[in-house]
Amino acid sequence: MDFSFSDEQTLLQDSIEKFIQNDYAFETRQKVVKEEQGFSSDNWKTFAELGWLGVPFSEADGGFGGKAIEAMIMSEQFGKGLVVEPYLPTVVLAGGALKIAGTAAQKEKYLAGIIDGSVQAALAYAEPQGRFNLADLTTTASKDGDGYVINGYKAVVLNGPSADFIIVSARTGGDQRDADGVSLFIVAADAQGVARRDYPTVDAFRASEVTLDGVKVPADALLGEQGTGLAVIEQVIDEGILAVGAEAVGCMEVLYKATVEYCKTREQFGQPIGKFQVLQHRMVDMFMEHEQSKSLMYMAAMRLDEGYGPEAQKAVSAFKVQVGKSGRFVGQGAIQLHGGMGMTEELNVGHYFKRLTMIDTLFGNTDFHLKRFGAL
Amino acid sequence: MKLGFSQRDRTLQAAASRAQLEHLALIAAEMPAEGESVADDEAFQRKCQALEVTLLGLEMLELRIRHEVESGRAARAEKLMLSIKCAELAQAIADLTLETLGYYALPFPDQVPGDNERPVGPEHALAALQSWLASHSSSGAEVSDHKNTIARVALDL
Repeated sequence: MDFSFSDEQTLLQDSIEKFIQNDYAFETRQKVVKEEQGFSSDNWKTFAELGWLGVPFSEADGGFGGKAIEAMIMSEQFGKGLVVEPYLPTVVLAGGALKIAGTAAQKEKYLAGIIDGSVQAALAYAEPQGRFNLADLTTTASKDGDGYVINGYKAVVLNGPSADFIIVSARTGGDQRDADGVSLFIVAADAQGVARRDYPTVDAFRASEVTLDGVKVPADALLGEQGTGLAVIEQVIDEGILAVGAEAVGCMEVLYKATVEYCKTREQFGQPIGKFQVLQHRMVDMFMEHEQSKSLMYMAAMRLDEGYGPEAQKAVSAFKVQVGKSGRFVGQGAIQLHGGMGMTEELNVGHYFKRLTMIDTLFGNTDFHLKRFGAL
Repeated sequence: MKLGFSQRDRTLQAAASRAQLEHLALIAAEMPAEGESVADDEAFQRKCQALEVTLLGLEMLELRIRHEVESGRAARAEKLMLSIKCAELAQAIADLTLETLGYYALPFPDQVPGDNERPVGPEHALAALQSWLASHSSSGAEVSDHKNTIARVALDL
């Protein structure tokens, strides 16, 4: 087993780490999330210039040919900085679907803009009644001349407010929860019949409820083969889980270390509270939860890089289960050891806690993935 | 790309828990419940799966430690963590095994050397009971000591 990074991987890790240390202070982030867009266009430009937006795409598509390990490395660092720029929805989710299922023409048309930073995107895969079941869709796409007409409603579309195009899952056949009959469509955000209700999320990202009312799209809007879109979404969501899970691992590291530092300086009864064994053991438990998550993060990334299939799916679900459990433990421990100020707006701790808690829900929570893990 | 599995990835400490978990699955498949077996019970399955997720993490941790040691680092905190977590997992598996036995978790007859009478209840019941007792005898002070050491070496407390 080799756990060392290649020189290129180390370089990638260092460059993001340096960016977060020098240019992504918590106070700056807090100013950015209060602005209307919710992230910094300047930062996004920097991401493009540094090549980060092209990491997961093949060299033929204008990227750098990175795989799951690179995605893991990047996301872990983004998690440490609590980065709000929409890397996940634009690059990992929408970009991921194009990477897996796009034709040469579709890749040329859409990936180039993602890689050079000029285009924002979103993946609209969830619906209110579907909970975490990716196949449970009431949105439909029917044949309409050469193209399709789409009707339906998509829930909590991450980066919806900024997206130039949205990849939408819809039924072209089958019953509401069938595996067959799911198709993906690339829909321009300003297409007639697309209506959005935008809002911030509790962890300071931006999302939308999207209504599609008689949205007409041409035949070449179909992404992948008609009726076989579920497999594409499943793979993209699993890659998304690796990304948010790695973010969570980064969040946990920051939290347990910040808690240790705080307990070394905060004094009670004439000594730093970090001298008390009961608190030391709590912090050791936080350290161990982080390590346990990190181990499964490596496993998920390595399995994904061996090839997508049941082994990889199982590893991803195991990782998600652990991250949900550990994230809650580390987050709550950090808040409790900081005292009431742990949840204040001013201190970063509460913001990491909120992100960790939302990551548990995103793409299926601990219970959902434990069940999936058992079924695979 | 580096970072990857190889064919010779075998664990020692975590492997013991793996064997214990596999044994539990065998017992659960034999214990009747609701016209089926305990292994068919969803609540039992969830508990088993949660333990398996923990085990997967510990297998990876053991391999990570080996990599650290081969690279010339001590990995002291990680080794102590592995001890603590494997002991906790052994207890959790032993607890669940006991649950699986139902009423036959209770009998603990005196053992007479050379006795050739059939044991009370299912044949694996007594061994499961013994390993449950053993798993809970080896905890307490040792875990506390290990945590004190981790606090010192990994957290500088």
